[in-house]
Parts: sequence; structure tokens; C-alpha cells
Amino acid sequence: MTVETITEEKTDEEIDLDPVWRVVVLNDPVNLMNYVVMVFQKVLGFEEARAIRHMREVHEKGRSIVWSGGRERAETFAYQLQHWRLQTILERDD
Amino acid sequence: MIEFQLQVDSRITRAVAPLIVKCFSDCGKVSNPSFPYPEEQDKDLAEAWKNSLREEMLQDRQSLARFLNNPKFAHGHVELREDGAEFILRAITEVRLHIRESCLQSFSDSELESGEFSLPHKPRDQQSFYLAYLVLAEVQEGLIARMV
Repeated sequence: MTVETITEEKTDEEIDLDPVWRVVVLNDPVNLMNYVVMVFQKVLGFEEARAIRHMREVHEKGRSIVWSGGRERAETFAYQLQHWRLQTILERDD
Repeated sequence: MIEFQLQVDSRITRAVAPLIVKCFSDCGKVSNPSFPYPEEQDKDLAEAWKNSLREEMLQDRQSLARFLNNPKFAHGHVELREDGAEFILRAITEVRLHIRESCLQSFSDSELESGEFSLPHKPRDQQSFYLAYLVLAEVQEGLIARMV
């Protein structure tokens, strides 16, 4: 019982210390709209409507937060999006 | 196998094919593409990130090299194996980014996005690069339509 309580407290502490990272795609004048939609579907697993919504946000506002969460997965997504040559950055949500 | 004919006059394709090959060669010489790693102060991780991406880009480029070497491409005919389409799509994006950054200085972003400008009023050398840029976009459009 005591052990379980300690374990649980430690997990909570770890969650509190682990910051949220945002994967942000920036606009560029080169990539085709349907290319960006396809990449969002392939890399992030978005449904078409969601992919189109984010593509439009990139196009109209210059950037879109396409994912947020733990650093490791955020890095994986950012890496894959960069591999597809989308201008992608990571931001720490402080 | 993915096969289609570009909706571009074959005289244009024949004219710009050598230019596309040249742009492809030139962009391959850029040894340090700017891929922002989230924490640049961590030099080792930033370098590992870039090196890994460079290796993957090399694989993409090799696929595009084979595609461009196919003599049918100069006649507007696109022919490739389905499992190579993603490599070629990515490599074409890289070439288009290179053309935009290095060869289309007189074009604004909005002109490129809307296509609303007078091509004859652009510098003659940049007109050819613009056509190459368009032909590559046409290849991408065709591939995406057949992959989805």
C-alpha cells in the first residue's frame, strides 16, 4: 500500500515536470496545397477534413499547431514533417 | 506502376528537362540544409538530426535521379514504380524549393501562389526556371492524384 502510494506520487511529479511541446508547421510559397494535405494525413494520421483545416490555417495564418504533447513524439513528428520538406519547428509550451 | 502523360506541351517539357536536371544537380550540392532542431544549443543532437535527414534526402535524390534519367520524361511521360513515388515527391519538393530560392528572385510569394503575373515581363532566364518549376508541380499533382 505504501509502495503504491509512493509510486503514484512520483509519477505525478514526473508528469508535472514534463513540458508540453508543440509541433508547428509554417507557411511556404512552394508546397502545393494537396501535397501538404497528403503529408498531414500520412505523417500525423489526420482525416482528410482535419488535414485540410490545418493546411488552410498554415496558408492563411502562416502557421498551424498540428500536434502537441510529449517531447519524444513531438520530435518524431517534426522530423518526419521536415523530411517531407515542410517548414516545421518545435515550441515548448511554457 | 504509375504512368501518366503531363498536361503540358511536350515542347516545353523537352525544353525544360535539361534545366530540371541542372537544378537537381545544383540543389544536391547544398551540403547544409537548414533543418531546425528544437534545441540548437545541443550541438551533438542537432548534428545527428541533420545528418539523419541528409541521409534520407540522399535516398530521395537517388530515386529522382533514376526518374529524370528515363528518356520518356523529356517527352512528358511519367513512369515509375508505386513504391518509389514518395521518394520522388519529396525530392521534387526539394528541387522546387531550390528553384524558388535561387532562380526566381523577381517573383513574389503571392505571384507564385496565385500565378497572377505577366511571364513575358519577367527576366528571360527566370522565365525558363519558372516553367521548370511548373512542370515539376505538374508531376507532383499527377503523382498525388494517383497515390490517394
